[in-house]
Amino acid sequence: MKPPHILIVDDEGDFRETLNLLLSMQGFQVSEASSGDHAIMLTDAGLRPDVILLDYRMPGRNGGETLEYLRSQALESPAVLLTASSSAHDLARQHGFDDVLQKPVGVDALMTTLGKLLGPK
Amino acid sequence: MRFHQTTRGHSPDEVRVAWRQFVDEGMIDAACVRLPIAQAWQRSRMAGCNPYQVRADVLSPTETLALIRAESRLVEIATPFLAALSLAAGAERHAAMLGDASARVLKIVGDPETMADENFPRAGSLLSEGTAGANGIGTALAEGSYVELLGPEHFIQGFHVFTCQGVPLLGLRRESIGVLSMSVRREETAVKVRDILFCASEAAECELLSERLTETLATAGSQEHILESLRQDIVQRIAMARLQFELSARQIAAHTDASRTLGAAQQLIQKFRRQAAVWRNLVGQSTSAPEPVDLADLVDDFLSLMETETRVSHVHMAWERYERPLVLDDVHALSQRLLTAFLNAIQVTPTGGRIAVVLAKREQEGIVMLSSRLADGSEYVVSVAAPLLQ
Repeated sequence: MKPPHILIVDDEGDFRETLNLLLSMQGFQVSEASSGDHAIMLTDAGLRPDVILLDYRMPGRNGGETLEYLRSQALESPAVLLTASSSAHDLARQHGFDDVLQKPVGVDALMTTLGKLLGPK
Repeated sequence: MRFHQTTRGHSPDEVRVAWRQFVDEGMIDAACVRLPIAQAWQRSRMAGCNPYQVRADVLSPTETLALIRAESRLVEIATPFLAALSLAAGAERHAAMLGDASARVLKIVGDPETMADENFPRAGSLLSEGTAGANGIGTALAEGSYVELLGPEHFIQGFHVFTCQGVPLLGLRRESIGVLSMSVRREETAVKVRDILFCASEAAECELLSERLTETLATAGSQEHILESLRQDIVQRIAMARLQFELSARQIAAHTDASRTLGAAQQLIQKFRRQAAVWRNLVGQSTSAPEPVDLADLVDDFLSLMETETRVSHVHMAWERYERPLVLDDVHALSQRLLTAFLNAIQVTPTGGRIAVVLAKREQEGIVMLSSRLADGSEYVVSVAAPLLQ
């Protein structure tokens, strides 16, 4: 059975890389995008992640704008907003995120959220 | 400090003999017992601690629950760090503990055997030196710094099987707000978790500090929007440190080298602290008198603080000339002027453009000059000046 596929969208390379490593240790398959446009390029090329983790504050499209575009292209993967914003929940509601995690976020909180979104294995 | 250093080359048995001599006669063999331990023993004895007591003073379940609720934020922030410390300790006998500023245990995470031991401290236990003698929690708070107690260095005989480490958690004014501690059975395990315990305490302090930044934002006035953006950028540092920390716990648990990961986490923590200090200078009203400021250091910190902002705005900042004017100014007001200058420069500079940052001395002033090429080809220049320190 294929492991769930997580797409991390964050402009900070070190953050993506470390999160990738941690998620891989937990058994996930992980892809990375360094911007909203990069995420769109990957999904346009056929990538269909099981969950998308999106940073909000990025060059170009922010995380909310990226999700809105992806949804307009009929991408239905659940999306989690990862943000340090004090308006995290408002942003999540505004842009249609399925869940939100406020930075700094740890592995346990991430696993709980992914578990909810992916459902029982 | 290693055991052979901490006990000046004396074996646990020799320290145990010194302990018994102190307990029975009140005499300390200074050649055998480290000074901080001797002082902790003295404090314990003077406070009336019984070296043979079996169980710590512990609150009732209701009182413990009330205490945990009162410290809920500290508990919530520390919980993932306790979990990671426990993960790093692996299958070894261990207990990762959080105490409040009064040495009451708030939370404990450990291996099943330790957790089932009814004589082991639990949430609600008081581990001050007065009640539990020299120990990882009480002595760390008494000393206000990291402590390590190896076996018979504990005042209470029942703790002689443990090696304990404790680090106080410090608030904004460097006051103790809690303590993180690890108790293990084997000294090798203590060595294994020492660095990650330090990292955990610093990261937890920073996460508590980052919450204070949010509270402080309420006083920001008209600059709230940009300061909120900068605050998020600062929090990103500690978010990255958290991931590095959690990765290091897993590396330690897997017996792989975590030193690079912990080093990266520590660098991020230090970057967060510097950026948070700059940020706090930007918020609220100035109440400070002029003080010496290294303008180059301040600009360095600003460039670091503005990293994400410049990236999001698609501009590039570069030092063109480098001097180190030392100025005398109100650091809050100076920071505000620099923020305005940097933001204006970013706003007017076209996408992909470059902002040159120059430090210079001019007559009696230190100058920070920002310049860039506008879309119409003209040059934009803004400068911030402060009186040179004479």
